[in-house]
Amino acid sequence: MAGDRVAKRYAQAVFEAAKNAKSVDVVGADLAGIQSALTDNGDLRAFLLSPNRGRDEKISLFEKALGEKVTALTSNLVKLMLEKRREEELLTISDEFTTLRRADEGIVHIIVTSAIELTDSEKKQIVEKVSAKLGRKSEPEFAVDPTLVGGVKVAYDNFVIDGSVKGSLKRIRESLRQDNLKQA
Amino acid sequence: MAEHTQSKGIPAIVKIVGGLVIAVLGVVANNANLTVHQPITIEFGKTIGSIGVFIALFPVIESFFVKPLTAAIDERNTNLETTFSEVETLRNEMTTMKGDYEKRIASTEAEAREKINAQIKEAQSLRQSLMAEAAAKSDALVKQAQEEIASEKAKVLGELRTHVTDLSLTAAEKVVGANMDTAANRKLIADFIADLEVKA
Repeated sequence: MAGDRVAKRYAQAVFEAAKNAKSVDVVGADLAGIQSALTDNGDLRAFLLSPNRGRDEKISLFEKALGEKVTALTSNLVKLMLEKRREEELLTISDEFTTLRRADEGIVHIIVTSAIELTDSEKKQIVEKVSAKLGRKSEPEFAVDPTLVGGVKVAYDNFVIDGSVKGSLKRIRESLRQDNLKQA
Repeated sequence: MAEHTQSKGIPAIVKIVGGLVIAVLGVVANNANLTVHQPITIEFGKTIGSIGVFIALFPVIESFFVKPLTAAIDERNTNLETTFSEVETLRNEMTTMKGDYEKRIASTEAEAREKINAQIKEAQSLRQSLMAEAAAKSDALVKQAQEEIASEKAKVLGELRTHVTDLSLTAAEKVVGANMDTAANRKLIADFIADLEVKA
């Protein structure tokens, strides 16, 4: 929780800087790439989080690895966080940055989960319908969860529209439990 | 009873002197030879002298024999009277004590009866109180047991219903999952998109 707050503060600072430099998208992409690399590469993540590795060693490796691939802003941010022993926050800063960017641009983040892979047409229809109803641009994220059995579940902001078989059964179960409690 | 004869009548000295005078007169008469021979011989001088001697001796005898005897008799009488009086007093005291004792016995018996009755009443009251308390406790226990049984029954029934519900829904989920093919899934997705209600 404390790490989230720290990551949020770093994200806020780099977002303001990126916005001023009109490079929000680029920095966002840099941070997403770093997060992806750390998530996918276990050795890199272990090296980064190892307490036995020195600060300078970590900074040196990241400078070599990132090199000219990222903006100076991103590079400076990573260097600063490593100097401040905030390696763990590198794993979540991209998410915090994205949240700030969406809030700043009025974008709604839609998470669409289905039991089977949706067709492009289905994805498009869902996104357009949600965007049209909300009057905001949207950034969809699609996932497949076979435990839903069937149907689709859409989550955005603090709302969930559950059209899955699993959700329907869950609602029936809750309803029956409430009836049981009333009868008891 | 203890009164002396000396205090009444002629004093003793007078009697003695009078007796001696009469005795002297008798001697004088004897010397004068005053005797009557018909029908019997009476010698007046000796007779008068004897009377005088008796008169003179009576106070002496009275003083030396009768008075101590009378005193002894009086004392004995007094002692007897005192004894009788004491006996009477003792008897009266005994009667009084007997009366007091009988009264005390009667009072004690009454008191004992009263106490026994009071104890019996108290025991009966206590018995009733204990019985009422026991009955109340018994009723309360029965009521509590009934409530607990009802509560447990309701709880078990609720758990049973929940269990049956879970089992039914788990079975339903498996059945639906087994029968859910791609076409059915597509239809569900299409229906969802058609009915999608978005809240802002």
